[in-house]
Amino acid sequence: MKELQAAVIGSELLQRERGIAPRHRLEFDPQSGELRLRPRDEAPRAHATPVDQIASDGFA
Amino acid sequence: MEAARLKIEKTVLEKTFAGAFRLSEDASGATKLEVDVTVPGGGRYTLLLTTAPDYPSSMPEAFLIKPLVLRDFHGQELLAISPSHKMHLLKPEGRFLHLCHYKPENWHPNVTLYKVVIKCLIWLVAYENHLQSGLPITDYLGK
Repeated sequence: MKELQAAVIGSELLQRERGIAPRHRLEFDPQSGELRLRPRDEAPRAHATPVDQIASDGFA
Repeated sequence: MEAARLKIEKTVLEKTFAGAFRLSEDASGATKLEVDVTVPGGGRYTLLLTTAPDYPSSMPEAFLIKPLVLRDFHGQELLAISPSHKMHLLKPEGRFLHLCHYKPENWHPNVTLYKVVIKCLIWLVAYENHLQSGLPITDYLGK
């Protein structure tokens, strides 16, 4: 399941780079210390931090 | 780093990477942050972020210190192909991979070390996907 999660995040990043509107919100979960995807139409989890802006700021 | 800023950095890191980071400062005001991070899928890594005394005016530098050897999809050591734009790697320092993170034009003194760690974590997710797909990291993170 965890491997699937990594692949799903990878697919989402690929699609974003190809100009496809993101379907998920990328969150960091401090309880598990991991990145997670959450459907955009679902409310963010209370303890999770959205990190979409950090991802979309670009890489040098 | 100024004491007030150091306190902010520690507070944020304690909320987000509790028990997984080590932050130290030398007499010159340069700091070192080591953070243990996990990528969904089980990959465990240790990042090293270094800051100059004028941080946060200057950007920190980010290195991967554990594991020491990372290979690409073709089996080549990433250190041997650094610097690499396709893999978002800068010129290495010693034996450590030097990771790209913020573009200088997107850097702002309000950006904390926590955000740089998240940026590196996203790089690691892209790297683990690269290992499966063979696609360059720029396909995941942009050029």
